[in-house]
Amino acid sequence: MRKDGKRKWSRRDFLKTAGIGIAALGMSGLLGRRVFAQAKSPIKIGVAISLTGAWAREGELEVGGYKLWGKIINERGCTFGEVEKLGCPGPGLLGRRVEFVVYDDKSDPSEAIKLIRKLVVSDKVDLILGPYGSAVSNAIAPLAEDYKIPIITPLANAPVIWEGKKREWFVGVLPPAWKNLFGCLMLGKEKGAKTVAFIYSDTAFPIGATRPLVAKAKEMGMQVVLDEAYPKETADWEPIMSKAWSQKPDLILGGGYLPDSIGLVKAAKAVNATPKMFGFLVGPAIADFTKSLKGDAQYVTGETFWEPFVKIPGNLEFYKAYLNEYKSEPSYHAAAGFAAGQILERAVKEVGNIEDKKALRDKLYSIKTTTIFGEYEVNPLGHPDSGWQIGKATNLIQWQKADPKKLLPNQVATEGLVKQIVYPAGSKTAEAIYPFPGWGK
Amino acid sequence: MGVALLMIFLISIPFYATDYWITLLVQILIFTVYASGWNLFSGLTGYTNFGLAWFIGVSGYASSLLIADYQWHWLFAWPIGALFISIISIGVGVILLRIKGVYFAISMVALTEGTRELFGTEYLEPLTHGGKGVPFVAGISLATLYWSVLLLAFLTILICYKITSSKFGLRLIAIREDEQAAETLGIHTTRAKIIAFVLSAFLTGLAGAIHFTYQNYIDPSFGFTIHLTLTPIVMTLFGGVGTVFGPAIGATLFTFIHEILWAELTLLYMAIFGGILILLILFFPQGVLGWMKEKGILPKIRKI
Amino acid sequence: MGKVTLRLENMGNFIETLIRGLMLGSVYALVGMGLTLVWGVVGIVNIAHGEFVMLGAYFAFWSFSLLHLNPLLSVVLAIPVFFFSGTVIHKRVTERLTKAPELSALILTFGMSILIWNLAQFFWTNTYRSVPYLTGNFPFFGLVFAKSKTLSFFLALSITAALFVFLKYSKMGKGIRATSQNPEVALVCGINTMKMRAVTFGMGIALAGAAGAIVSLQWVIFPQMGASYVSKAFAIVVLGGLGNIQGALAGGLIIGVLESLVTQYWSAKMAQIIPSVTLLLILLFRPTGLFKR
Repeated sequence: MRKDGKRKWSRRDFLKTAGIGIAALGMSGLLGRRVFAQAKSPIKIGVAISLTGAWAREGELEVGGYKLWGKIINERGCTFGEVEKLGCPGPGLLGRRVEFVVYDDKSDPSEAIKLIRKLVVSDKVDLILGPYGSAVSNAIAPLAEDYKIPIITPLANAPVIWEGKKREWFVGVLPPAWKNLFGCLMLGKEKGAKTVAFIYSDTAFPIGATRPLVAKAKEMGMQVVLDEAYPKETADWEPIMSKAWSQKPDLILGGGYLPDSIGLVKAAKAVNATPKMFGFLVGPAIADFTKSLKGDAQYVTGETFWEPFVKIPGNLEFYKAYLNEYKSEPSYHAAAGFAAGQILERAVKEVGNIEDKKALRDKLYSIKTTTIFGEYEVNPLGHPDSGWQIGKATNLIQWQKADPKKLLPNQVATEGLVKQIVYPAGSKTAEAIYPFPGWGK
Repeated sequence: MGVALLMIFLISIPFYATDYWITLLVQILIFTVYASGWNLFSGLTGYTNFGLAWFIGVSGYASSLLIADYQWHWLFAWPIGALFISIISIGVGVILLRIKGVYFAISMVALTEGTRELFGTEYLEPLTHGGKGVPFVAGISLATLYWSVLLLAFLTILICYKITSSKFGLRLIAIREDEQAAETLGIHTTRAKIIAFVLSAFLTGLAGAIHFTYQNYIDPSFGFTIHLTLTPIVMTLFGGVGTVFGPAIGATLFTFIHEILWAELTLLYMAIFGGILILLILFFPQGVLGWMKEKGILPKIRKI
Repeated sequence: MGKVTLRLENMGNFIETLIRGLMLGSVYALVGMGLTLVWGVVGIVNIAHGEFVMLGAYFAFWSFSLLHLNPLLSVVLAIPVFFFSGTVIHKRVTERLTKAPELSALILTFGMSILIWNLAQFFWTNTYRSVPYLTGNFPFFGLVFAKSKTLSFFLALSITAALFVFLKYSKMGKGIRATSQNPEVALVCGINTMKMRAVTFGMGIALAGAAGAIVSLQWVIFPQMGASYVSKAFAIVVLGGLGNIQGALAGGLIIGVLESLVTQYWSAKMAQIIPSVTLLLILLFRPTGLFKR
């Protein structure tokens, strides 16, 4: 598809020409961005990510992880944990400075497509790190194949992206989406839940995370009383919550992203829904969830892939560096962003350059490693679901009342509540509180 | 002679231009077809079609699904998408073209919105993949895509030219000027309107199929976005409603303005775009080209 | 898909759903009445109407988060603020459109819509926001209602009542009705129709702004929220008959109740199709609206 001609009219040239005519629009921006040559040219990493819109908070955390990784690489040439063993040869990746070109996709997949094209064609970035979420990742995945540029997407796990797609340039970091709230079903079954209602946003990730659970719940002998996707433009979750609660299920599971989880909890309180357990996607792992809902966040469960108190090599250093850099608590989104950087770091160091995109791609598909986020291993090339993460595990957290005497190292209380891992048994930090005792109790 | 030179120049572009330029030209040509397609029906009959995105989205969906799920070759998927929307347009035209004036415009908006929602519902989801969207790779090179859309744009302008200078075109203009009078003169207005409507659907539908192949992705809110209706209308207004080359000129100018604004003022460009629309209506209701002709900056040519 | 069936023991739920629909509809009606006034009296199809709902919502949000103003007060304050802005916009911009072709008004207000929501996005970002004012519920004869929605309902009804009284009994209201029915005769009778149009445009915008401030009490708000309101408002206007205020009130309530019932007993996504389908059906089979004037 790409064609290199003799006349190298880049878009920048065009803009310069146009800018003369339209001085007011262009000139300052054009000149301001010029990078002055260094001993070695920097490595440009392009990111098109949600900085505004429905996924703004998640995207902000993720890009925070990317930038922290870049900063540490630029300071000491390696990051924390297992990658440190490859050596710390001093500032930069392969001695080259890491720079980011970040654009806002406004939580809109079509905008992301335009931006990825812009990053590759006009900004000529060397590498690309993924956007936030399955919807955007799903939309841009074909571009990775089209431009033959490997993309690591740290926060996307809907089956639709990889299942049977034979992706050759697109690797994920998160375990499959259906595992996100699977712990809720397992806990519910253990405690004797009989009915479950699923309500979820009509986009790639919530569908991928929830639909497979419908079948699994039935296999476990539970009755699915409601399975409904609500429009993604939903601004009021009360009607759908009321509908779910009118069936009086034991478990209400689903949601979408941070706004959905907050809205659904508010709606549940507004219609006085009191099932035995709530499980919502994405939001509960982020401290903003509890900052916004205060005491109403108690007992709500959600998935997590990382917590500061989990013992993994390098995790403590990452946590401290993040707090030091941003003065706020990271969530698994930030850790995943950082981990994507670490995976790239390992692959680039092992390949020894960044120009050979194919070698880099092959490396990303074949390495097994541990980042501060946990295990990394994807289905190899040739597998029908190639590029899909298989190494990483999912945990379930529940917000519980904080007992100041019993906090784990790095376990931080928000509004008097803490996240406790309640599933699976091996990683458990506390017992799940079941059933939900009611609002304000 | 001039036209032939221009065509040779345009055809030869992929041999030496960079991807950036080809991409830009693809956009210009696609929007030239959209704008000319809109103009062909609305510019001539006076029925304001606010549902151009419906043509584009339905055809785009049909062809994208054929390529993504049924492994069709793009060369066959595109015309099938366009034919699909043309056939549906016959029915829709028969029903909706009875509604006049601003109500017709609103009914087309409602049709677009309704279809967008419908494509996301659980009933059509097995077919359309609903809110998950359809990402796909059609395996077409940028150069081939460019030549296809160039050919389509050329044919569209040729068709518009032939129609405006034909008896059929005069009938459509008669409808615009006074539909009742046209009827009493013995013009079969309903038939003329529907033919123009369906022709417009076919051309924009074909461009829509190519558009989404180029984007590698379609989902309901992307495929039926109101911008797909609005932008071509603005381009036509810019170039001059009811003229043959107005839409093409409008599309070219507007794509360049859009490109510069988007590159340098990514966050504000849409706002500026809205501002330009307001100014355009307030100060140049006859189009910028029309205004230039009136002021004698451009030579006056026959206006149809 | 999971459907909820209507059974006798679920009657309570049915009534809750119905009342929730009326509450929803009362806010839609405010938006619809604003649009029908502007369209019917001024003769401008204001596609940017939804954007004023959005601005009203942000008005309440910023008054709450920056000035710690009680949202109830913002609803009251929004009315004069938006009324004044509306008359200014009419004088400066839309007044020129009253004699222009319909397409011009459509495109211009479309441009206005894009300009407003993109500026909102630029200055306030796309982030979802909400006004944390009233949460929770209250029981009512065995039924449960959200506090915020109930408050919104009464606010919307009060504004509607005030509007009816104004149009029916005030001198200006009579002038507006006269202008709407027959501008030429109104002019001959000594009514300043130009002023009436400006006032009406201002009232339409004020209704949208007030509706927005009310909306902020119950839903999340973001710059592109206007689009969903404007499509509903169009359906309401066509349902009630152009320029028919009572019709718009009834139309708003009908759309609200339909949306609520369809969500509960069919599906949330089917509920989104209602406005478009209603609009098309009415235009085809009863273009003058459901109600006689």
